[in-house]
Amino acid sequence: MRISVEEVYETVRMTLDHHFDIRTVTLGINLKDCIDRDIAGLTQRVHERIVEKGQLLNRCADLIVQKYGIPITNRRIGVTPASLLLEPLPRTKATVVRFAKALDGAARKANIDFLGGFGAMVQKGTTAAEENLIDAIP
Amino acid sequence: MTEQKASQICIVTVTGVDRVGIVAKLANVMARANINIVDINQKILEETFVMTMAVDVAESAIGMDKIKARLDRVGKEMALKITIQDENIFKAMHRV
Repeated sequence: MRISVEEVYETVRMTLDHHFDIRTVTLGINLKDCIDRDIAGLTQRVHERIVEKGQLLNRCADLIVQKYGIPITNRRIGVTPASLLLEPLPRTKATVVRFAKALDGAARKANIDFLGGFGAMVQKGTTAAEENLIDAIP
Repeated sequence: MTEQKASQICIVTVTGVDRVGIVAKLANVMARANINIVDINQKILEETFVMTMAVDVAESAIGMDKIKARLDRVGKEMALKITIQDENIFKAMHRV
């Protein structure tokens, strides 16, 4: 059965007058294969991966916005916990900060609103790399 | 294999004040873009003129962004709010 005028009007008014939107779309990216003993290698691969997939997320989100006429307010990316990726690297604040800046830069370049994953899973104890990451947070 | 192509129905919604030539203008935009009009309905709801038009964009000569831009232009000319949305959004909102 085709949709009635009343039903269409109700939905259209939600978007035009009541700011009905899709709040966030999120893409999870596995970065484990970017791990490296060299910070430069890690940040470069992470940057390339996030920019590539992030731009793809934005293109897909734009198509959905056009198709359904419902705006998407935020585009978000979630990545492998940073502490895991930092395990083989020197336990210094400089390393952690450099990696954080790489994440930030990639998200900015891909025009992503939020990037999550700068964290550690410590519910069953902490490794040295995890402690180092937590210590690096201002 | 049959040659029949799948249809992609979108709903064009026009809201505002009724006047001469709305259907003509919209039909013109659709015809130029090779979009088939499947169904048209209109009603006065809460003192607002509301017209819905079901169109099949599967064979459209232009993308959704361009269709939208052309409809926006018509909307500006005639002081109407015109939207185009995939039919499935309404099904998802109103059908169980």
